[in-house]
Amino acid sequence: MSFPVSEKQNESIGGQNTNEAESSKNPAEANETNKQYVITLDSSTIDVINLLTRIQKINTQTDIEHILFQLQHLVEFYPGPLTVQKVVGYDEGLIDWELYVDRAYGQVLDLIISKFDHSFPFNNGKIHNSVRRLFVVENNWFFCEALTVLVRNLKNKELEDLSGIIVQVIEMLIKSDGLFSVLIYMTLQQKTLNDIQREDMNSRWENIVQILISLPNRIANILQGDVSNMFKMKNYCNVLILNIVKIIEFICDLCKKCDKFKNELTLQPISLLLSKILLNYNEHLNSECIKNFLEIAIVWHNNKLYADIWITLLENLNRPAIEVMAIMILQNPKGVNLLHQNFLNSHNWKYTLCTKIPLLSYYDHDNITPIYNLVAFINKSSESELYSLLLNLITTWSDKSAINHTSIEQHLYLTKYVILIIKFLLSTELLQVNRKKIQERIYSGIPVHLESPIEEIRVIGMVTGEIIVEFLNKDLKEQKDIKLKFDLENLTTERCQKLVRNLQGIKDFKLEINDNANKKTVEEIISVLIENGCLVHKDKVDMEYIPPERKFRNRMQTKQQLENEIVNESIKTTNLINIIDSTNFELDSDDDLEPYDTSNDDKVTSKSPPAYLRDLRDGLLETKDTEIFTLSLENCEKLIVSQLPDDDASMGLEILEILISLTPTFYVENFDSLVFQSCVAITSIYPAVYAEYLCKQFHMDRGTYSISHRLFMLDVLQESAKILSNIKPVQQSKPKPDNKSEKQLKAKKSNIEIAEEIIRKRLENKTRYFVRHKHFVYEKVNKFADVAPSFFYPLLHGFGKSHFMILSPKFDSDNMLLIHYLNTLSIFMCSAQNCTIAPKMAKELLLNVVWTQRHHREVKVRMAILNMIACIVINVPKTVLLSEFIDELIEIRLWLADLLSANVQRGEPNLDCRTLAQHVLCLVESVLKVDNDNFN
Amino acid sequence: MALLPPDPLFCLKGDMGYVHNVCFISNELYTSHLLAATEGGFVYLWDLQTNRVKSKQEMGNSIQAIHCTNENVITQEKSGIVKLWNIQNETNYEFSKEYQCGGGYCRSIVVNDTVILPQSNSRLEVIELKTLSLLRTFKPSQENLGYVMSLQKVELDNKTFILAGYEAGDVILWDFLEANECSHLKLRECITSLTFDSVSKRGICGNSSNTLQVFTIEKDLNMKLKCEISITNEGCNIVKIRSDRKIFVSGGWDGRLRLFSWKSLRLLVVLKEHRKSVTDVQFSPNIVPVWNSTIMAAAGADGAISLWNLYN
Repeated sequence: MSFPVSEKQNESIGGQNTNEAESSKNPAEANETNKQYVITLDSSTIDVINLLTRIQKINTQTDIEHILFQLQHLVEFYPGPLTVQKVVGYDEGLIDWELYVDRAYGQVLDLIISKFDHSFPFNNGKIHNSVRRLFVVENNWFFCEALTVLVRNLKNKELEDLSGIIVQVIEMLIKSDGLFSVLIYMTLQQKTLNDIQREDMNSRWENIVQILISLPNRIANILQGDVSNMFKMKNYCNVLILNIVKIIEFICDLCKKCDKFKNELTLQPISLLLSKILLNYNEHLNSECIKNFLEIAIVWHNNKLYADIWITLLENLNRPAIEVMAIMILQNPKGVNLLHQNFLNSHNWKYTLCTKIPLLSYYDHDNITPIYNLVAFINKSSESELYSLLLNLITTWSDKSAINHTSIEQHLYLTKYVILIIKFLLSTELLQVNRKKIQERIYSGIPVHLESPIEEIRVIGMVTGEIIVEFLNKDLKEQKDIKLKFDLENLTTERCQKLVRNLQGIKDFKLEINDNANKKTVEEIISVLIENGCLVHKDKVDMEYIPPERKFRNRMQTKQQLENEIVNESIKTTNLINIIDSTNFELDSDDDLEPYDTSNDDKVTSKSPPAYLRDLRDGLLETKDTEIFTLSLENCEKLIVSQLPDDDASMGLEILEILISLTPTFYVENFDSLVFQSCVAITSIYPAVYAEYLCKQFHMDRGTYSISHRLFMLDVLQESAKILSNIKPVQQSKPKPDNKSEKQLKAKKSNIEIAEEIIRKRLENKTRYFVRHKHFVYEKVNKFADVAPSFFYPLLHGFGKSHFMILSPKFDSDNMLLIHYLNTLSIFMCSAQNCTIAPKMAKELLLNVVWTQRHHREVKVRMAILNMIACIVINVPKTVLLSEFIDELIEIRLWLADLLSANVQRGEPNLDCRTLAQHVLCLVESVLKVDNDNFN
Repeated sequence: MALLPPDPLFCLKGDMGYVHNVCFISNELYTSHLLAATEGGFVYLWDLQTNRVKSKQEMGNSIQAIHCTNENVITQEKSGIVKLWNIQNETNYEFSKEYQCGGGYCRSIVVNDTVILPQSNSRLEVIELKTLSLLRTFKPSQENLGYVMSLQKVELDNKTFILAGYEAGDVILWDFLEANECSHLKLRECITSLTFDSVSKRGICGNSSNTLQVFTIEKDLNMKLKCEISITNEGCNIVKIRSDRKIFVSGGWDGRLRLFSWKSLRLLVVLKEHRKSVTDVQFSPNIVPVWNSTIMAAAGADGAISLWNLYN
């Protein structure tokens, strides 16, 4: 694997480390003289990639340690925090990071993401520091690549379970200054590039913006709504806006200090981002965050430098965004300052302000501020524009078809514009010609209104007519007294009277700007943004702890503190007693108390339980450290259930091997049950493999395993068979509310509620339901069916040659084992109920076991045999019994009858056994009887 | 080679769970029983003759402290509820009254028929034991002291004082009768326990760090930090000086009991009986007949109470 890194790189690394400098400048020479291992960016990247390719999947803690170790070297080379010097180019690193990111970084990230699991890179909610540094690099190239890779992996189906982890990493990335570094690069560096590079960069930026904007939606989709606060739409918007505020503040500062930057600025990228934010994060034009942003802009506007940047920014917005921006600005009482007169020269702005908003859109008409602001702005910028807008408005206003086809609200909206514009125009001199034109159109419009069947329209026509005529005639001496007067007093409905008042109010409308109320400084607004953006956490480490009020004060650090890998070494002085003030304080060194050995006073280190199966294996073999052993055993079952299904069967076999012969090296509470449960858990995961293994171990030669171990194996087999054959689904047990709180709740209920409940219950009881299937039974697949042969035959087959199968055993223990063995076989028979293999198993049992063992000397064995017969009769379907087992059944019946006979020689002496035989006989007869019934 | 650490006399185990506080019950001659207050809200009465539970009574939730007088038992819960119980017979207590103080971990203390309780805003309250009626409130002049974490009675020149340790690391000496602040000392933060020896006028303060701090109260009642003792592991729940002034004990979050010589402050022995943190240590006021000696009882979060007889 190789990736060419620019020549410059070696030198730069040399700058960081003198040793490396020597070797890198002249590698050949260095190799000869200095055999010392030298780490360079190249070598460490190759190391990391090799390591990550070698490790398919993290299996032990050691793997994690290796990865972290290699990463630590790698991240050392990565660019550190973004500094002003770097931004302005005084501290340009010599490494071509663009090339590096292009060739290697993405690959490293992809590889490391494929290694993510439940305990890497987040362990107990904390991320390993070097992994964090790998992803979060405050550099333009790195940020873009990391974001792209992470978002691409978010879509990866294979990593679906880990999307939560990836989202956490993305969150860290977004919280970092990475986005800022991209913005600053896009703003300052463009001028130095040629056209192709610029084109390339812009398309890259568009991609990034697209990702940034769509991030909350993507994450919400992947996590199915369960997202962190930061990625909620309304919070996330704050994060983006904050970055824009930051960049504007920064470039203003920069320009203030040094004029040359002013000409190098490229604001289109910021405008692009802003456009997207405006369009995507501004539902109902009501985003708190954008309102705050405008508040900041208003404060900024007092400064020429900021104002210039602001205006350029707005001019570069795209058309849909301009509309949103314009409306937001107009809604703000002080917003009109934010619009610049030149905007009317910009095609998009002119269209939006003079056509789109007044004529083609409709916004909440109760609020006159936007209308007033717009009219005031156009008036200020260009009177001719205002006049042509008025003409357009009045034309529409007077148009009969328009009146008939638009809603009343829309019409009213239009009317308000007309009234306000008239008012503005007339305060200045209006040409006679223009005046005439207006008059004509109004006069033609009024009758159209009066003809309308809708009362509101008529009222609008009347009131508007009155107002306009009054305005028009006011300045003309000869017509001063001519007034249009409608009889508005007679309007009956309250709605219309309100409308009249409303319209008449417009002509006297004055924008009220209260400067004092809500006056916030930029800092205050920014801190609101930070808070809303969830950039600070109430429970993060970077808090200062002041005990009394239990409040946390934030230091407002954007840099996260190192979270992992910090060991808090306590102050351990060799001198145990440290005298601070010795005045009047003497220690009596002479006492007669004899100390004991205090070497047992060692440092307590809390160990974490094993996180992987391979660590678990090592933990179970631990012979020195109690804690590791205990933790391993306690977490054994949990780990097996969660990880063994994804792992190789041989891993489980290894652990099973350890567990069945595990001795309690250290005391662990519930040792036996823990081991047993773990074994059962393993066996239930790959039953075929492990059951065969257990059976094989069971039939090992005498002396290999103790009786108790063999019994244990049988127990595990039994329990696993039971679990596998269980077809009842596991009930999702809901946490039951404890009785106490329920009682309290009941006590709180009022009488009415209790009565309502009683009535509801009665109604429910008496309602007739027409549903056919009232009761559904949900059942699972019988997993035992597939693996029954693996359980049954290996256990049965050791039979003939196995040592304990002797009719007259030498040892008592052999009987015990035999009984247990027979019972296990019976349980397999029961577990195989309804399985296709059941009749075959029954046949094998009858031929191989029952027939040979039924005259066993030991009564318990005979009883086990009787039990087995019962199991066979119950679990093999009757039809099969009658067709295939009829001879055997009859023979069994005869034998049982013999057992029950009073004859001492042939009959069974043991009372319990006799009773059991009786029951079994009944069972057999019940099967045979069906036969008789059928024949009769 | 020094002697290996000794084993306990006995270890009382059962279904107690987290034990917060223990209290010996004595008559004039000998100590017969031990009360144990638990997180589960049960109070266990252990018979020290047989080392068996004599009775178990549910008396609240998460009981932080328990006191016993001739006629009454007082329990203090984490939520701040203080309950007064009448002793009906040896094994049965009847609920009588309750009083609300500030919640938390600070254990109340009994001083001359009164109970001193922590209250919110770093205040202390003195209430009458029999009636649970408020007598006095100690209100600190300083702000930002945090919760009251530990209380200790101090006798100086036949006058009673109360030492109160606060969360922020402040220790204030209060005049018990006049409710005045006498002096103030700033120690390490998060004080967990205080103990004081009125004869040598020295006290020890345990906190969440790995140091114990020894301070003195001078004649003019000023307190001074005199020395610090390092212990191996962080966190100390309880420090206690035995009344014979020979030794003192610290019970740590690491589950270890450390016995020190009070005169030389030398570490004498480290006892690793408890598997979780030690929560309380008490010395029996009188001889326990079975052991024919006074004993020390240490309670732990592991639900065990160990009994020791050392350096008597």
